[in-house]
Amino acid sequence: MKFRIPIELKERRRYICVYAPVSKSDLSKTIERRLKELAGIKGCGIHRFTLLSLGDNLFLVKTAETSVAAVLTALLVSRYEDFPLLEVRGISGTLRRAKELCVVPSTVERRS
Amino acid sequence: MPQYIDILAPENEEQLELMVRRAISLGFGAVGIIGDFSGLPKGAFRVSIVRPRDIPQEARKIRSKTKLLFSSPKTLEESRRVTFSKLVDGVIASYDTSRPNFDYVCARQLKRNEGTLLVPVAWMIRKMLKDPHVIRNVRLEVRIALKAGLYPVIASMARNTREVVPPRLLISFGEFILDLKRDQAKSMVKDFPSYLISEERRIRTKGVALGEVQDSH
Repeated sequence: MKFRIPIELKERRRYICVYAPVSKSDLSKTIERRLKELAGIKGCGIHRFTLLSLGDNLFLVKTAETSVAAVLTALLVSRYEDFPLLEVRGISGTLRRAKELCVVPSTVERRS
Repeated sequence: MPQYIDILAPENEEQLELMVRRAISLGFGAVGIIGDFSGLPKGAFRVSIVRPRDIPQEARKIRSKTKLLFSSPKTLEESRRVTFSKLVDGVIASYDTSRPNFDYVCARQLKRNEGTLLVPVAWMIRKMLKDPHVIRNVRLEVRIALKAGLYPVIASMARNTREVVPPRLLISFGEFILDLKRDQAKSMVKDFPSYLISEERRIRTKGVALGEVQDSH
């Protein structure tokens, strides 16, 4: 028997386009470490994410809608403390749109 | 129309130009500059921070030269005294003290002047990684300010180009660290600071600070 999950109960995905001139493993480890730190400081659970590499130092951070604020804060702290050249170029709900955002950075920043 | 506003604290003249240009390119409509710089680039306005002991004498001297005047009290007593003066547009949240320095009385006093509580993101991040207590303090102060009907403001207070970030990251910081709803956090980066430097507020509070200056003569 198949159950349908109502659309409002579905955890919507978000893709955060990030430019960072570092390796994927370094970036992934740093974001994870920062998320753990923030979770410890704030006293909340650790938010999960998946990192996708697009090449040319561009990455997509895939995460749940409820974790976007936590991941963006982790990226903010990473920019301040670890990677000064790290930039968040945009956020999107679809992979196709996120890839488009990565290509055109200037328009994205204005929309964010 | 409200626009994203940020407040920066550049270390020198070279940084000033670069930081303002970067902030504008990231989507900020106007940028407040803290520091004694001779000229400001287009899109920038002057912001000053005075020590509590310099109020009211020093504050009176620079009030007319600056668009926003803040103070950073280190104790609750200082905070009460600072917020009582109508010369000050706001106080900086307690990012570097072990306990909150801003209570409901301070908030009500600031409300008369339509003042604000400023959350300095860069300063707070530097401090909170060493001492997580600051989050609790600032969160509590923001909650008090909102309850009293104040308009808290989130600003990066960046000291170099590295610390100038898009408005979306400041909103997320407010949302996650200060436990705000996204709309609230957005208002603190966009609507509230826009109102703070608007002509409407200037007209509404016209004569408030002036009265205090004239009383002293």
